[in-house]
Amino acid sequence: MINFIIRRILQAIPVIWGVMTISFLLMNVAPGDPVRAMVGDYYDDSTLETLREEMGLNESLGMQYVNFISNVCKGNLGKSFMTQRFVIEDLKQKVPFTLQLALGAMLIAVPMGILLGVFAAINRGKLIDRILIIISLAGVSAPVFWVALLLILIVGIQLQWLPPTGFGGIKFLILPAIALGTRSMAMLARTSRAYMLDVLKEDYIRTALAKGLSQRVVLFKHGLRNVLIPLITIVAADFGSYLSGAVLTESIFGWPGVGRFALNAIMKRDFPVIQGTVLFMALIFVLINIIVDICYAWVDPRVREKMIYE
Amino acid sequence: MNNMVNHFFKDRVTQLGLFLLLILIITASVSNFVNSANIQNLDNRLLSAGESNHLLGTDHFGRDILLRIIVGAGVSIKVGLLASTISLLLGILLGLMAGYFGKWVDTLIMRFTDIMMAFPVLLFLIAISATFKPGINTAMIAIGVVSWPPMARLMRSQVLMLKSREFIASAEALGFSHIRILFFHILPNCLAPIIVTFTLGFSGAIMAEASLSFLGLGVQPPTPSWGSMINEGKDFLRIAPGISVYPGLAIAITVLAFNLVGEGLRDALDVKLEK
Repeated sequence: MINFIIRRILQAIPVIWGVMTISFLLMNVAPGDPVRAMVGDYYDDSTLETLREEMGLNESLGMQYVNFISNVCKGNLGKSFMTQRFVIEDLKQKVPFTLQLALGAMLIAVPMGILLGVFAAINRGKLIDRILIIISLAGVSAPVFWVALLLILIVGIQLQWLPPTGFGGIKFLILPAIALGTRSMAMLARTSRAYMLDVLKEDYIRTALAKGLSQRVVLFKHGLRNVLIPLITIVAADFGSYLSGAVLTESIFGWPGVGRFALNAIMKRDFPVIQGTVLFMALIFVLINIIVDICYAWVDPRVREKMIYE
Repeated sequence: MNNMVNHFFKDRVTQLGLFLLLILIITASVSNFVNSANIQNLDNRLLSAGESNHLLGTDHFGRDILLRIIVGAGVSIKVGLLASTISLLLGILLGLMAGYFGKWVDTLIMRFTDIMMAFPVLLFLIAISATFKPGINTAMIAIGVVSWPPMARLMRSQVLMLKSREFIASAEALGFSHIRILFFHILPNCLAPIIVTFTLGFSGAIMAEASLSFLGLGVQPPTPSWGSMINEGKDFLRIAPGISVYPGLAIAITVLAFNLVGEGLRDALDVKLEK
């Protein structure tokens, strides 16, 4: 197991390096002068020159790259053009809000999705199964931002059950969490239905039923348990989509997380913030994948062997 | 083969998908002939559906929503087609090379694939669109350049499977060039998964374009795009929800159509895609 963990972490190093390099390139191929973008329309040449010197933009591209990598390794993602604050400080402040939203979405999506999928599988071919299939397909196909607006329109404005937008207590979290979780709930329902159907075909299910165990025990103890393991990877992979979806959801609901922070920076062409946020999110994603792989290998020894064998 | 075709066309759900797709293609083809989608008439602002001959009503500039949705269909299909073609070509080329040449070529390409997959797709797209000039071309290229990794992985695994087969060994023994083996012997045998991935990728590209345009980083006004229409309408949600609701419905139906057809193809061709 230790062997596996070390290998998995070593494997991530080139990926992390690559992520940093692409983030660096992305901002350095940007057309236009970053210093001019920073000062706006009114400037004089000496100010530009001082700023360039301060930001290290007069150094060669190679030197800038080395500086960038070493800064990132020290946890310094640069300073915002607009506010002159360190990007990492702002991120630290915003991340908890996005996590809140993502966890809320997960709390809705994961149990609901799995339950619906398993329920559909048990009733395979019946009307309720067909209805659930169509609903889940619709859920996968509807854009997040549209679902969000529909929720605001119906629940927030017409029924007035919940505040349409804004930030505050748990009441404000429900709608954005549903919007963000819908797609992943639909995907989970589809996958867990397929897995459950596979599992129900297995011999051990037939054996369990044959030895007279009640259907409920067989379904939940023998069936569901074997469905849950492969679902871990899917739930984790979805976390990436939560990070992407957060940009849309947060901007619609006015949720003060990383997504809205990134979007505001993009609208103002605040390049260090864009670069820092993209890099930060990608690094989190890599980290989550490592943790998931380790958990997965921990519960399923076959995965561990396969990786070491490769 | 006949069986496959039968299976594909007989499936009820796939039929629905094909039907929706047909409507979409017809709509997109007539969209080139619609030239009144940008005509503003401030006397007819914010009409609701059915009022004075506007079937779906009008937006805040008095523009007909239905006409704009029709033109938007053309935009969506164009972006979807070009973006998924770009990602198809990149994915096929890189995947073929990784699988066929193996060794350091494989390691290099697959590590690059891992790196690309580490970025949250939408945020990556947003950053690219913001870095370059936002617009329909930037959006198309960005979506294509960002979404090839699944195709590359798929191609690689297909090549690895085929490489050990006898007909490839005999082609090599006959002294055929790498290019000939890759493109005339291996590629034709991977068509089924390519078609399925392409169809499913198409819906992904349409969704990505809509998201970018919703954020104002995709198709620029006054060209109608479903995503930007939803964005423009969100300020009028209380008084004229139709401005946002109908284009969203158009996106959902389009994506659904591609997903249904893609899955129908997957079942008919019996393709197993990697999770």
